[in-house]
Amino acid sequence: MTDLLIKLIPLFPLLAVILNGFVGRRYSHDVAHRLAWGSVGLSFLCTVGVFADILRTGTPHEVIAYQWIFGGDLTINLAYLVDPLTCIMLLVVTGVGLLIHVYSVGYMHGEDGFTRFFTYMNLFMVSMLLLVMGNNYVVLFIGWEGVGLCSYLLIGYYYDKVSAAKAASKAFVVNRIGDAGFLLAIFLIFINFKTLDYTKVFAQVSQLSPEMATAIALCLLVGAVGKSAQLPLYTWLPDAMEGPTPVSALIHAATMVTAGVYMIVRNHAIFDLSPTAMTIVGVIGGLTALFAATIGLVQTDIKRVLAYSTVSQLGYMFLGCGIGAYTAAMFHLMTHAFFKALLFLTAGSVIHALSGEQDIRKMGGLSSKIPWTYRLFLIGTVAIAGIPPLAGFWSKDEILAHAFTHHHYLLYGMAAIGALLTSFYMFRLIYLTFYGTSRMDHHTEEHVHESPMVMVGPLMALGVLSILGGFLGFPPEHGWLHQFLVPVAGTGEEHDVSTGLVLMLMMIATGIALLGWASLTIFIA
Amino acid sequence: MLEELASTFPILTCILFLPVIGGVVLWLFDDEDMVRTSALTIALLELALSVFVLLRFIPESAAMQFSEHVPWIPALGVSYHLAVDGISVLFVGLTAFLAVLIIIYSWDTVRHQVKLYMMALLALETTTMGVFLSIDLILFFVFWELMLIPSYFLIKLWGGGAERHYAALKFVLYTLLGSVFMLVGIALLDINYHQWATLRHIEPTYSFDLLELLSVPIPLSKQILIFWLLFLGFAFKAPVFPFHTWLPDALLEGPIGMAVVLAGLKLGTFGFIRFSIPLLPDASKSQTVVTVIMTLGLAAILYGAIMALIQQDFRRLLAFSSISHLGFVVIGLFALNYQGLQGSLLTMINLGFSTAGLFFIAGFLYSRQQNTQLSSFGGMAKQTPLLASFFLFIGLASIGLPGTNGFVGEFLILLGTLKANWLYGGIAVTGVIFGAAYFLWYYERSMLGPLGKAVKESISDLHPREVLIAAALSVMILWIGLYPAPFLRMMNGSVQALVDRLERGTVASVESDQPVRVD
Amino acid sequence: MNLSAPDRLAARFQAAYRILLNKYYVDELYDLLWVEPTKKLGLLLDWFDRTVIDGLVHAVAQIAELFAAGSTWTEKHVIYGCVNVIGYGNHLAARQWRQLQSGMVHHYAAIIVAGLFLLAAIIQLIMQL
Repeated sequence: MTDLLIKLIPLFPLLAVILNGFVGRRYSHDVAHRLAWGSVGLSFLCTVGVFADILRTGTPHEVIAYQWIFGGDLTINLAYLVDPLTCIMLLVVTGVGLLIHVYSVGYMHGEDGFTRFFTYMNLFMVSMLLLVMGNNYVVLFIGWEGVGLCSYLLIGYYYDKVSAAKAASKAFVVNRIGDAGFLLAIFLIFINFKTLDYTKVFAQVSQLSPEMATAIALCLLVGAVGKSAQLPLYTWLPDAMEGPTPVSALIHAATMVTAGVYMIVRNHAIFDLSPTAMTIVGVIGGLTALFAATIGLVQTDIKRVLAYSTVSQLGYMFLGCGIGAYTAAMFHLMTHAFFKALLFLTAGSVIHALSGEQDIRKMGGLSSKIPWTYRLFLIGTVAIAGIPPLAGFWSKDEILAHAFTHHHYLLYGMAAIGALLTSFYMFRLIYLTFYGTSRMDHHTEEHVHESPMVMVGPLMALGVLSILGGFLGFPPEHGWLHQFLVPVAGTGEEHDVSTGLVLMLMMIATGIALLGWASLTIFIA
Repeated sequence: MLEELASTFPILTCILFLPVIGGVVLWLFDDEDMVRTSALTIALLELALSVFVLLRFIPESAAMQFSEHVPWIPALGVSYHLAVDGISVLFVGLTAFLAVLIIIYSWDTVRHQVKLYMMALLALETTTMGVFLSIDLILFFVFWELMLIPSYFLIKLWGGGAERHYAALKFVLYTLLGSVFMLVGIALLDINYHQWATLRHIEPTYSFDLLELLSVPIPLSKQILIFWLLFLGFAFKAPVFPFHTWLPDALLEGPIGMAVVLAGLKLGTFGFIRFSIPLLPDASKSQTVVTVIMTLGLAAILYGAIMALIQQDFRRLLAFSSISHLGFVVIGLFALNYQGLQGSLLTMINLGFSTAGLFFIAGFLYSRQQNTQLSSFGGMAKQTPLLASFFLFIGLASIGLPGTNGFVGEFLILLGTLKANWLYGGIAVTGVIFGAAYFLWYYERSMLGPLGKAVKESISDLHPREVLIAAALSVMILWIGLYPAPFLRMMNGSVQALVDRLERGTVASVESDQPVRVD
Repeated sequence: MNLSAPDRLAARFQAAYRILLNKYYVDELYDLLWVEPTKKLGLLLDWFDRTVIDGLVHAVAQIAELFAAGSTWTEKHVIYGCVNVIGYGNHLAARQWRQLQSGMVHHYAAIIVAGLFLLAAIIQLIMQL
C-alpha cells in the first residue's frame, strides 16, 4: 500500500503536465488550474499517507519502478527511497507547493500563457519530487537538472523581456557549473563503491580513504553551491527574480534552492569523514550569510531584497551542515520554506495590488490599504528576523547555539552579525513598504486593492505555519523533528551544555534581532 | 571467433538494395508528386524492414546475426558478407528512420530536379547501409567510397550556399585522402592474415573477412602501424579534430538533407568501434595511441564548444557542436571500458536524433528566413511557439539533459572516461558547461527577447509535415532518455565481447584458442 | 518617518554604499574574468580554424594540385596519345566525359596513384622486416 502511494506521488503532477502540456489549449483556464493544483494536492495526500506509515513503523521504504541504465557492472534503477529525511522534504515540497499553486491561480489570473505556467510548475513538482525521492544519485541528478530546467523555463516565463531571457540562461549555465561538480562526485562514488544506491554506499562508507572522502565531498559541495546559490555561484539567484512571484516563492525560496542542503544532509556520512570539507562548507555558509545580508541592506526592489535574504538564509543552512548540525539545518530549511514562501507571496500580493510595481521607493503607507497582506508580511518578517516565538527564531537559534557550544566562534560571529543585518533589512522593507506616507504615483494609488481570497487563503496557512512551525523543533535539540530525523541525521555526539547557556544564547539571539529592528527605527526616525 | 547466425531469408540484402533499386524505378516516373510519393514509400518500406530486423534481433548476444555469406572474388579472399551485431544493428534502424524524415522534409523544400535528388538520396541510403552491414573489409571499403558519389552531387547540386562546389570537392577529397590510408591498412591486415594462414595451412589463404581477421594474431608493431592507417581514414570522415575543416563547409553549403546525414550518422567513429578496436586491441590500448587520441578527443570537446559559442550562423554552430560531441564519442571509445564503449555507441545513435534534429530545426528556420544567420532571427518564440518549443527540447537533448537520450550516453561516456583516467574525465566534464552555454545563448538570442528586425510579423509556425518530423524525433529522444533498456540490451552483448577482446588482445585469444565470447 | 536619513548616510559612506548597491561588482568581475575571455578565445580560435588549420589543408591541396597537373599531362600526352591511335572519335568522347567530370577525376587519380605508391612502399618495408 505504502509502496503504491510512493509511486503515485510523482505520477499525479506528471499526469497534469502531460494533459496541460499537450491538450491544455483545448480547454479553459479553469480546468487547467484545477488539474494543476489538484494533482499537487493528491501528491500531498499520498505524502501524508506515507508519512503516517513511516511515523508508525519507522522503517524506510525502497521502491523500484524500473531498470533504467545498465550494462557491465553498472545498474541504475529508477527507484525511490522514502525515509524520515525524504518525508520532511516531501511534506515541505508538496505542502508548500500546494499552497503556492493555489495562490498562483489568483496571481496569474488573466496572464498570457496561464496553462503554460501551470505546466511548468507541475513539471517542477515532478522533478523536485524525483530529486528528494530518488534512492540513488542518478535519480537525484535527474531531479537536480530537471528543477534547473523548470527554473530556466519559469525565470524566462516572460520570454519577450530581454532581462528575463538573460536571467534564465544565466541561471541554467551557472547551475551547470555546479552540476559538472556533482557529476564528478557521482563518478567518484561509483568508482569507489561500485554502486550508486544510497543505502549500499552508506553501508560501506567507512572504507573510504580520507583523501577520497574529501574529494567526493568537495565535488558534491560544488553541486550544492551552484543549486543553493552560495558563494561564489550565487549570482544567478537575484536575477532569477525576473520570473513571476509564485515561481520565486516556490523554486527560488522554498524548495529548489534548498536541494543543495538536502544533498549535503543526505550525504553527511561522506562529509563527516572529511573535516576539511566540513570546514569549507561551514565557511562558505557563514561568508554567504554575511555577504548576501550586506547587499540586502541597500537594494530597492522588494523581490531582490528577499532574494538576497534567501541567499543569506541558505548560508545559515550550509553553516549548520558545516558544523555538523544537520538536524538544525533541516529544521531551518523547513521553517525557512514557510516564512520565505510567505514573504514572497505577500510581496507578490503587494506587487499585485500596485499593478506590478516592485520598487520600494515608490511604495509606502500600504498597511491600511492592504491590511491582510500587511499583517502576514509582518509575521514573515518577525519570523525571519528571529524574534521568538515565531518559527525562524527556533531554527536559526539552534544553528547559532550549536556553533557557539561547539566552539566555532568565528562562524558564530559571522552568523550573529548576519542575523543583525537580516533583522535590519527586513524591517527596512516593512517600513518602506507599509509605513509612512505613500510615494506611489496617483494612477497606481487609485487601483490599490487587497488580493482575492484565493491568494490570501494560502497566505494565512503559511502565516500559521510561520508562527507555529518552530515548535516542531521544541525543545531545542530534543524536539519532535530531532527524534524523527535521528535515523538519518544521527544524534550527533552528546554534548554537555548547561540549560543556562542555552537560555543565554537564546536571549542573545533575541537581543540581536530586536537590536536590528531598533537600530532601523532609530536610523529612520 | 564470433558466433554467426545465418538467416534463411536474405533480409539484409533486401535492406541494402531496396533503396537503390527503388531509385532506379523512380527514373520511370515523370510526375514530381509521384516521384515524392514513391520515394517515401520506398523509404517507409526500408524502415519497416529495418524495424523487422530490430525486432527479430536477439538482444544480449554478441553473435553476428542475419548473416549472409557469398564468395565474391575468391582468389583474393573477398566475399559478399553481410551481418549485424549489437554494434551495427541500431545504425541500420537509425539510417532508415532518418531517410524517411529527410524525404518528408524535402517534400516541398527541394523544388528543382526532384527526381534526381530523390535518386541520389536513395543511393546514399544504400551505400550508407552498406557501410553498416558489411563484414568484409573490401565490401565495406567499396560502399565507403561509393557513398561519396551521391554525397558529392547532393552538396553540389542542391546546396544552398554560394561555395557549394568548393565544399563538395573539399568533402570528397578529404574522405578520399583518408580512405587511401585506410585501404593500405586493410591491405596490411590481409597480408598479415595471409602470412599466418600459409604458415598454418589454413584455407583460404587470403581474407578480408572481419571474422576471419579477428582469428589471427597481429604483432603489436604491425597493429600500431595499421591502427594509424585506419585511424586516418576514420578520423577524416568522423571528423576528429584537427581534420574537421570540411565539416562546417559541407554542412553550411550543402542541403539540409545532406547535413542531417553527415551530422546524424557517425560513420567515422563507427569505423573505430567496428574495425579498429576489435581488430587491433593491443594497439588500441597502447600508451601512445590512447594518449594521442584522448588528447585529440578532449581538444575536440573544448575546441568545438568554444567555437560554437561565438558562431553567428546556426549551421556553423551545429558543425562545431558536432565536433564537440564527437570528441565525447572518441574519448568514450578510447576509455576502452564497458561504460565508455557503451556510452559512445549510444551517443552515436543519440546524435542521429538530437544533432540531426537540430539540423532539421535549422532547415525549418532556413525555409522561413532563407538563411540561418543570427541576424535574421530574434524573439521568434512569440510568433512560432511550436518551432521554439521543439528547438529547445531537441537542443536540451543535445546538451544532455537528464530524461533525454543525450544524458544517458554522455553520463556513460564520462563515467567510463573517469574510470579510465581521472584527469581526462575531469577535463571532459567541463564540456557539459560549455554545451549549455553555447546552446542556450544562441537560443536566447534567436528565439527569446523582442521580435527581431528581420522577422516578419506574419512568419508562420511549423506546418503539419514539420511537426511530424520534430515529433518523431522527440519521441525517440524521450524513449531513449527515459527507457533505454531495449537499446542497451541490443548492444550489451557485443560491448561485453569487445571488452573481453580488449582484455585478451589478439595473440592471447588465439593462443588460448578460446572463443572471444563464451555465451 | 525620516526618509532623508538613508540619503544622508548614503552620502556619508558613498563608496561603501555604491559598492553594496552594485552588489560588490561580482557580476562585472565574472564577466571580466570568464565570460569575455571565453568569447575572445572563441574569436581567436575561429581565426585559427579559418586561417591556420584550413590554410594547412589548402597547402596540402596545392601539393595535390601539382600531382594532378602531372597526371593531367600524362593523361593528355600518354593516355590520349594511345587513344588517338585507336581512333579520333573515341578521343572526342573521352574529352566530353572529361569535361563533365571537371577537375575531380584528376584529384582522384592523383591521390589513388600516390596511395598505391605508398601502399607498395610500405608493403615492401614490411616484407623486409
